[in-house]
Amino acid sequence: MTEERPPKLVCCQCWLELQPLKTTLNYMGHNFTVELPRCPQCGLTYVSPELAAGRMAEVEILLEDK
Amino acid sequence: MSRVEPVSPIPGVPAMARRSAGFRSRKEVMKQRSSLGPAASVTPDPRDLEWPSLSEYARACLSGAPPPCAAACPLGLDVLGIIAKLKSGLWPAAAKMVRGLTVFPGIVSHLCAEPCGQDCLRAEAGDAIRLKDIEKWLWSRMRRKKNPTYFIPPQHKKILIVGAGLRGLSCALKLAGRGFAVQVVEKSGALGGRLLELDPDLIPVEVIEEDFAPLQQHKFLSITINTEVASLSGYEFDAALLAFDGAAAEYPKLAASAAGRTDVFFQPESIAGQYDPIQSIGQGLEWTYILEDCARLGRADIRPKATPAAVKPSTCGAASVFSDWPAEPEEADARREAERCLECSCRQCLDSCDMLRYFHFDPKQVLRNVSGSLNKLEFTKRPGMKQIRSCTGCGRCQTACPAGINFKEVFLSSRRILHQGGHLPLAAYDYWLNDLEFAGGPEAAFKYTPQPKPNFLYFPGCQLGASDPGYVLGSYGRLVSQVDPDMAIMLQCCGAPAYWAGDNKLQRRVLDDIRLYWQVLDRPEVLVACSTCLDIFRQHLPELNCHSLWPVLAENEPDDTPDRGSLSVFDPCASRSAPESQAAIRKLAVKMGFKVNELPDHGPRARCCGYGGLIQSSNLELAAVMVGSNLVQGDNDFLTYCSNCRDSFALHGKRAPHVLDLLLFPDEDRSLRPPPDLSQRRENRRRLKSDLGLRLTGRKPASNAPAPPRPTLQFSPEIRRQMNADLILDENVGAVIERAEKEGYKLLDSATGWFTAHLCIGNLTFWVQYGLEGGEYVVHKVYKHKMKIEEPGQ
Repeated sequence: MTEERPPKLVCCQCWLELQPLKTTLNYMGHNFTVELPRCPQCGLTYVSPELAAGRMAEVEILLEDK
Repeated sequence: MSRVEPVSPIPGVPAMARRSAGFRSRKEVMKQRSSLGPAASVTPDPRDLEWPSLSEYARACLSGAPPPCAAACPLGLDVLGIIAKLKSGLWPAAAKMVRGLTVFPGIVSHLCAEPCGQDCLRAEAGDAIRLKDIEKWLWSRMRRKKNPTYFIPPQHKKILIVGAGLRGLSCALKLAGRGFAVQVVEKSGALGGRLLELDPDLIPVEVIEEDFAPLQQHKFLSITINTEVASLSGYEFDAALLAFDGAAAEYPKLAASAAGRTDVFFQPESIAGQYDPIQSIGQGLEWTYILEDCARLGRADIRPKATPAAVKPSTCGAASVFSDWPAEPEEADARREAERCLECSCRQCLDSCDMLRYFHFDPKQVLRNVSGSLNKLEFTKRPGMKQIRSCTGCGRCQTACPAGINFKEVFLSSRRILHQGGHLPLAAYDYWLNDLEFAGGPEAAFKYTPQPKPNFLYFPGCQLGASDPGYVLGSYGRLVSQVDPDMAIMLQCCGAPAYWAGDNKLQRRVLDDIRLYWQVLDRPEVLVACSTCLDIFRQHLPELNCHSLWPVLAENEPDDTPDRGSLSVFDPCASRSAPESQAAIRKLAVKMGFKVNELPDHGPRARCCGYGGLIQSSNLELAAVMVGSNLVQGDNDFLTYCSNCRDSFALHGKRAPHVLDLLLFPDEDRSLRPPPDLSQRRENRRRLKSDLGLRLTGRKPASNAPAPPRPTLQFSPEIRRQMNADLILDENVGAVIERAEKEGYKLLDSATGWFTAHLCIGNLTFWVQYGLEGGEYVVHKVYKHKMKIEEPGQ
């Protein structure tokens, strides 16, 4: 899951640049582990609008209709 | 409480006696039903499902049932199969089918009386399909060809058939073809029985000889002629059929030898009346099953032949096409004749339901999918989930199915069951259920009564005021001045979203709340503006004395003479169960000076506008299809009386004045008033409560929820449109930004200077990208997702 122009994101709490880190997502009882930009200190995550509307939405529909 | 003699305060509406305390028993409630059809019922509690089981429905379904021609055929010919083969140009396969099903194709295609033609639907648009001619043509093409021989595994069982009429011979040939060793014994010197007495012009001798040729060559079949069977004691067999005509009394010795034996069968009545060779063959085929059972198992029960329930095809809308059968037909003629066949099958549900058509499944498959979804095996999918969640609840199916299958109830009950099991994706319904809570919550809910026991309670429903508070204020004002100055009013949701989301508990909670207020007011007549609310109350809160608002307004509306042009009434789907509403709207239209041009799907055929069943969250594509179908129904303005229909049409640029637009604002043209966006709908309801409260009590009603401090947000029109489409409210955005600013949970894009923040609200996670400019938050992007992110400290 990669974006074309990744923004240079900084966590406002920790003032650290986000790094791609393992993140767990869950929906309808299923867990997924993906790499998402996260603050290495507090774990604040970034989900891009493209990801939310694209892959995430696809998987959500798949699980709902299962 | 003293009993008051019931007098109807509403002209045209029967008086409803005040009831003494206590609800009606469930049985009474179930008995008093609206005219919804055989399987309509009160919302069953999932603990005690009373609706017919899915397998009963599957058995009753007529899809796959034979067309009238096949049902009338004494041989049970698979007409659809034969026609399909011919349409595909596979006439040898069709000929094989005919031979297999008729046993003696030459005899059948010469002598059949064609009962199939009696009920052929094509006769209504042309003339009946010439099945017999098709069979004859197929026979003529195959007659000189050698039949391929197949290996038949021997059954090692013996069958005796006494009498070589058509009944005996067809039975014999069929059983021999299945590997039984069949012995046929015939008294006379010829085969065919009464067939041989027929006029040779009707059936040439060589045709009979050709049909009978396979009898002589068959490995498992032996025929003995010129032999009378005086008694069965000389014969060995596992099953026997006495296949001659005549009463048992004529052959006392034979009858005596057969008496008490369970392996000997005889059709007791003699075949009186007209000889029907096809019937004889049909009977012979029936006997094969009984003899086979007996030979294999030692006994067989004679069941009366069940008449298959034939499909009842709906009126033929096809153009007339007459047959053009020549004296010397060719393959092209046979194919053309097959093309004329309408291939009748029951499509009533498919024809009435956009959703079933959209999925292309046949109804039995749908029922199987639903069953598979409710009884999911481990590691398998729930095949029917999307369908279950795509039903709008419009109810057209309920009057369409000739077998009484209630698809609406199947789907909505399935949602309840799945909800109970935690298998419904709740995130999909979050927006609607939040809206329900809002409508019933401190910002929008409102109750007022001018005196402790009013005669009437007005229940406008939650969407009318959301579309325009003026609708509620104006209609309430009318009721107060025209019907009763002491009219009470209740702003609340009827619970329809909970019903559609399968949340039985939430629905009951809402209904209990409404019933409680109604009881507190001592059970007034309830006037309901929204057809959906009325339908919900009648089904799930039947003790409420509710009436449609529209006959009341129609009664009190003066007749207006100026001719204001034509329009078409768009009946909301829920009005199907309230024909009085449908009639009242038309009366109102006429009184206001309009001429009504009825739409093709009006009245009992009313369609869903695309709003029902929460399919906006489950199947947006289907909702768009339904809206599209509605738009093309007619060119006149659509007179609507459901604010959701009205708003849905306005969104697509279709002129659709609400009846209250015409009644309350006669000098304005509000037909294309753009529908409010989601946040405006909330704001409208807040204003309605506040205005109403001020008007009625002289002071603004206290809202129990403290107004949350909102940062000033700036949205561009594009963002607003997108938020509306994605069901995201201003206040969702406000909540995200507020938390982000207060607690610092936000990200900064150093390139643009924009912040990105998110917040999980209920089952959804909302994201906002925003900037800070001049003390205002400028919203750049808004999106949401249903998946939850595991984040520490969130």
